[in-house]
Order: sequence, then C-alpha cells, then structure tokens
Amino acid sequence: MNILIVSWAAITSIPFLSTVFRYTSPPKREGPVTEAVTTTGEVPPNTGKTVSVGNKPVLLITTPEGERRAFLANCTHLGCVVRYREEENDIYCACHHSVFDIEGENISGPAPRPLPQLPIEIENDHIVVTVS
Amino acid sequence: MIQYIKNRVSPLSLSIRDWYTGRLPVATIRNHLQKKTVPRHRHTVWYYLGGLTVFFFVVQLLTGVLLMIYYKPTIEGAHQSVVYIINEVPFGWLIRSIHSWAANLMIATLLLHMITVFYLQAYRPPRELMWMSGFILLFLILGFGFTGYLLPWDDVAFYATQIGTEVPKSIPVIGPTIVTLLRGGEDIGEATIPRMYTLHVFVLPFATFLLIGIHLFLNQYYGSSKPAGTPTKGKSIPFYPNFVLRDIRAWGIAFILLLCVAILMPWGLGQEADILRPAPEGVKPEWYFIPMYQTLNILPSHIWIFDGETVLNTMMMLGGLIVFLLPFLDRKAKHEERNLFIVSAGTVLILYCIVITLLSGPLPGEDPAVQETKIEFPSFEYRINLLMYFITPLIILIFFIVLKIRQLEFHKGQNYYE
Repeated sequence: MNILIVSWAAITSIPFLSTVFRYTSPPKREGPVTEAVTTTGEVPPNTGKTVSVGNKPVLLITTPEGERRAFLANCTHLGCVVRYREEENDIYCACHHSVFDIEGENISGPAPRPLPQLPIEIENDHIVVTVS
Repeated sequence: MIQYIKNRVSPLSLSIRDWYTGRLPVATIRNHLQKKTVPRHRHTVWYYLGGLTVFFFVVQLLTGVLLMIYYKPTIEGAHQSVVYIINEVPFGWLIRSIHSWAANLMIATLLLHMITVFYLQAYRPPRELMWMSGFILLFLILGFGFTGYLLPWDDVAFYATQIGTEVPKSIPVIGPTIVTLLRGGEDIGEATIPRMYTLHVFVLPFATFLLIGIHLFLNQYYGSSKPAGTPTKGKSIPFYPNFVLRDIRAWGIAFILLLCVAILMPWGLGQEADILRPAPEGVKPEWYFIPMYQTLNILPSHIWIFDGETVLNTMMMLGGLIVFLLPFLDRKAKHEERNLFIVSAGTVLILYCIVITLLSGPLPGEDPAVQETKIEFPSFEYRINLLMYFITPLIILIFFIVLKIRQLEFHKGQNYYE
C-alpha cells in the first residue's frame, strides 16, 4: 500500500512539474529577423564591426578587397564574442584563442565548427542582415 | 555585588528557564551534546573546516540580504545598482566586499574540508551519506558562486556566464534545454539576470539549508570520524561546551581574516557588460572554475569523432559520479586500510587543478587587460581605522573565549593542550 501511495504521488506530481518546466522555458522567438544595422561607410575595407540583430551579436566585416560578410559573432567553441583582426586579416576569439579565416572557417584553436555566415544585402547604402 | 545581582535576577531567569525547558527538549539536546565527544589526535585541527564553511555561509546569508535591499536584477539596473551600493550607500563597499571575499573563502574552506575528508578516509562506513551530502553541497556552493557571478553584470561576469552556460550545450538530448532554461533564451541577456538572481537568492539557499541540515544531523548522529591508523592523544574532547567554544574561537579568527581582506583589499567591479563587445584578452573566470576553463583551452576541437567539449563534459560527469560514489568504490576503507590507487588518483587530480590554476596567470582582478569601473573607495587610513574599530573588540572576545576554554579544561583537570 505504501509503495502504491508513493508511486501515485510521484505520478500526481508529473503534471505540476511539467507545468513548471513549461513556465520556466522561455517562449521561442518567431521566424527570422531582418534589420538594417549600419551604413556601408561605417565598415570600410579591412575592418569589422559588431552589431546586434534580434538580440544576437553579428560581426560585419569588409575584406581588404571590399567584399562584405556577416557572421554570427559567437565563437563556435563556447560562445564568446569574436572580433576582426585587421593586421592578421582574420577573426579571433580571445577566450580560448580560436582563429577563423575571413570565410568564417575555423583554422586554429579549439573551435569545432566554422562561424555561421548570415545573408547580407545592401539597400540604399545600408547593410541589411537576416538572422534566422 | 555579584551575589546581589544573582539574587535579584534569579527568580525571573528561573521562571523563564522553567517556561522554555518545559516546552523545548533543551535537556535532551544538552545531554546529547554533552555525551558527544570529538576524537583528539594530530589531525584534529581539520575538524574546524566544516564549521568554518558554515560560518562563511551564514556571513553570505546576512550580507546577501543587505545587498538585496539595493540590488536591481535587470539588465539596465544591475551594474548601476552595484556601482550605487559601492559608491553611494554608507558602508555599501564594505558589505559587498565582505560578500565577495566570504564567497571565495567559503569555497576555499569547503574544498579543503573535502580534501581532508578524502585523505582521512572519513567517508568510510557508516558515513557514506555524509560524503554524498557534502559532495552535493559542494555543487550547490559552486552554484552560488556561478549564479552570483553574473549579478554585477560586468565584463568578466558576462563571459564567465557565457562560457559556463555554453558548456552543458554539448550534453546529448537535454543539453540545449538546460542552456535555454539557465539563460532564459538562446543567448545571455535581459532574461538571464532574473533567473540567476532567483537561483542565487532563493532556490540555492533553500536547497543548501536542507542539505546542511541533513549533513549536520548525520555529523551529530555519527560524530566526527577518527582517521584510520592514527593514534589518539589521551581523552576525547567533549563536544559541548569545549569543542563548541573552540569552534567559536576559529570563527572569530576567520572573521578577523575576512575583515582584513575585505577592508584592506576591497572587491572591485569590471566595466559594464556589453553583449556586442568582443571578449577582452586575458578574460577568465574565478579561481575555482579555472581548472575547467583551462582544460577547455588545452583540449583540441575534436577528439576522434567527438567535439572537445563533449569529451570534457563526459569526463566531468563520469569523474563526478566516481567521486560521489567513492565510499562504495573504496572497498578497503571499511577495513580501515588505505587504497593506494584511490589516494594516488585523487592526489594527481588535486595537483593538476593547482598547477593548471597557477599556470593560468593573474586572477581577473589583477589582470591589467580587464578594465575596471572607476570606484572611489575610502582612503587607506580610514580603512585601517575602520578595521581596528571592528577587530579590537573581536580580539578581546576571542581572548575571553580562550580563557573560558582554559578555565573549563584546567579546572576539571582536562588539559588537552599538552
């Protein structure tokens, strides 16, 4: 009888615990976010700039050749915000010294994956980035 | 004169004593405490570490409540409210400094307590549950450190939390859910501070109280463990009042040490966190998380077909499980024999943690690469005077306690000092 009561009490707690779990899980963000983040003049060749799109840090870089790219700025190792190094022409994470090339490929350090590249468009001199 | 006062006060004090002894099991508790003894041997000094950890925990509770009065757990208010506490609130810098230093000292005494229990094999039967409850307490106390770390919302806090909450992500199936629950979303931001605050000021204290209660109950029930093979020195020390007074003496000394470091080396504050600012060079967490942080640095990105993080997570979980189940794995312990393999493995792990921490360079507060918020602490002369103001009566109080211990033990011919 005791086992029955304890087991049933455990079963009874499931709906309450699942409600607490649902309550503490934050609502998911809906769909991609597209924002005009800055002007082209703000990111001249061989520079990088970190901006926020939908509360996520995004690294915009303009290569020395003038090509523009956008990456999610969280290092794929442990999520620290990376930065563009003008002298080395690469992307660097100071937390554990991971290095990515300007295509976002991980080339040294403990980062296991490339930086996710984001769609980028230029509209009326503004850089528009989409984070999915 | 004393007799006169005694005669005047006695009837009232007696009636109060009669009232509460009739309603509380005071005599039963006192009888139990007086019968309980603490073994006396060359390792007796290590028995104070558990009590010291509880002492620092109490300091944390008291100073934490005071900090809660002014702290604002929002992304806009967190850093500003800490700056306000330090710069504007009378003695705010002191309360926060004591809270931060006591947190570190609490973790240090807890780790030392655990290490001594390990070497003295105090986990052997029938004290397996004490070891296991102590192990969970270690995680809860580290949880206090981790959740409290983010609350000032400065650069170092932000990155320590970023890395700390990213680590569980590689746990299969449940990892991403754990991260989302901790952060209140995919990233650290507005939703993270209230969550860490709730864990820090309610969930963790509640769980810790419960476990400390169980741990102390077991300690009272089984008494202190005498290390296997260590010869005792004469009679055991009565727990009450002798060892309790000795414990209070240790707490007094610890309090003086805490006041010295908190007043003479007040805890600083980094610049306000900015989720867009790249990680500063040299950023690292508090000393007690450095072994894990540096190990993540050493591990390659991939080991065979697994991510380095996944390997570290698996290793840490397995290692934690082994340490948790140590009383059952050390089969020689119940025969009061030393298990050389377990002692060696533990020693290697402890040495690894110490060496890797020392090799990691300066601590966050000492690192010139990590910028600090401008804080106007009171002048050094003022702080020296303040320190004297606090510790002079404390030193006298400790002196009186030492006299009381001497009086108790010499008066009754129980000299434990030889």
